Amino acid sequence: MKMENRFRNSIGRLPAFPATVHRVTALINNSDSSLSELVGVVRLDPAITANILRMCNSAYFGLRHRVDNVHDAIMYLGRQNVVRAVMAAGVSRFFKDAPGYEAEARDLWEHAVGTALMSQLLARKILGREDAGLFTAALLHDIGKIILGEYIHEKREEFSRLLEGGDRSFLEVEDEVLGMNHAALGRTIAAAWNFPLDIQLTIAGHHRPDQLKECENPVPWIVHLADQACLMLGVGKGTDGLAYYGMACALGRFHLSQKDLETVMAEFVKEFENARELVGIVQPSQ
Amino acid sequence: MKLADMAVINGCGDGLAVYGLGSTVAVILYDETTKVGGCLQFMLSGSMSNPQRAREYPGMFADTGIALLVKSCLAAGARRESLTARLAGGADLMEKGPGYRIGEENVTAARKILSGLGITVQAEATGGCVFRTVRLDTTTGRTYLKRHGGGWEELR
Repeated sequence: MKMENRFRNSIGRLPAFPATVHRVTALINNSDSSLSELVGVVRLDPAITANILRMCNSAYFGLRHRVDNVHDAIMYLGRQNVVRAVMAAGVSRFFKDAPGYEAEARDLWEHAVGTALMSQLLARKILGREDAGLFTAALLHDIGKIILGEYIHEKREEFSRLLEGGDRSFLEVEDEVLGMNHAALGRTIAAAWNFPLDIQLTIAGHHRPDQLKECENPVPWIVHLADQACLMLGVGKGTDGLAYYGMACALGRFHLSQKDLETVMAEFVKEFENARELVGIVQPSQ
Repeated sequence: MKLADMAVINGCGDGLAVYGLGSTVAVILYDETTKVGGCLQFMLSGSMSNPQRAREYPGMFADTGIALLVKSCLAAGARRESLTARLAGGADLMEKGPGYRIGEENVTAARKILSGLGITVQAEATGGCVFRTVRLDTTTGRTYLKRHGGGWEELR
């Protein structure tokens, strides 16, 4: 079977994306929606409900007292944090081992959460605000790996041989060997899950935001920088490693110095510690 | 071991390990005579620009982290004159440029600080653009290294 058809079949076999996540996002974006409507929608999905309760008691969301029901969770979290919590709870169930990247589900998830948190720290510095859409895009940036990892594992010897020279990025080798890379495949998955076009494009361009048509949009660049910063810190044990073109212009684009990046990295450690419940919703494989 | 963290083990035990070293550096200290070993995973070369973070997370920076690691090893019974060091990590992304020399600067800082303290670096696996995992066996003092995609080998 042609590789393209095999990828399409693999995407088709993924479980349906939880409708609750998109319904919550739509309600949050509609200023006329009520708290009780939101609570009603979230309660329809028991797995998301359980994870929201767990997450909203984490230090990351900074609530002053313990919350034990969805109504209070949504009331205290605030609208933007509800999107973050529901998105994380909904997306986490798709993370599985990706042997081609030597990554377990837990590693990929840790990297996804790390990149999402790092993107918010960078957004504060660059845009002067946080951004829930950016959080979602960062959380999903490597989603293509959950499928591509199996195919890379099949061709692992060819990958090792091509990467050995040290002059090709992992993404380039994916294209060369499989005719597809995890960023492009991630975009196809996000489209199949009905994510908006800007999130699809950010996933597609997270390694090369300069190649996107609308490369003025800061979001793909911020995800790109957040991804690199997490790789440098080894968050998620590396996944596709440092065989990654750094795009030195990414920092310059936002007039950031190395010291600025270091300050963000230093802030990240505490943020990541505070979010351990978020990381913990995907357990290590048995 | 977590980012910006350190640990010291006296004698036996399971040893110490740091997984997924990117631009961060693992500094491993060992005293063969007392079997005391310690490990630090620091992230950045100097604490001068961020003294508040350094107070909260001394293990985040080469200067405050290594000073604390040495102090902790001595408190656990190590002898200063017998301490030796091994380094791993300090990699960078493929493309060099502004902002992407953090790994290289980390390694340079670690070497300089250890040299200033009179501690010999016996072996190191640093630089390049590869992820590494490092493990210290505190009963033997041997350090093992695994590169992303490779097997374990002794670091010597």
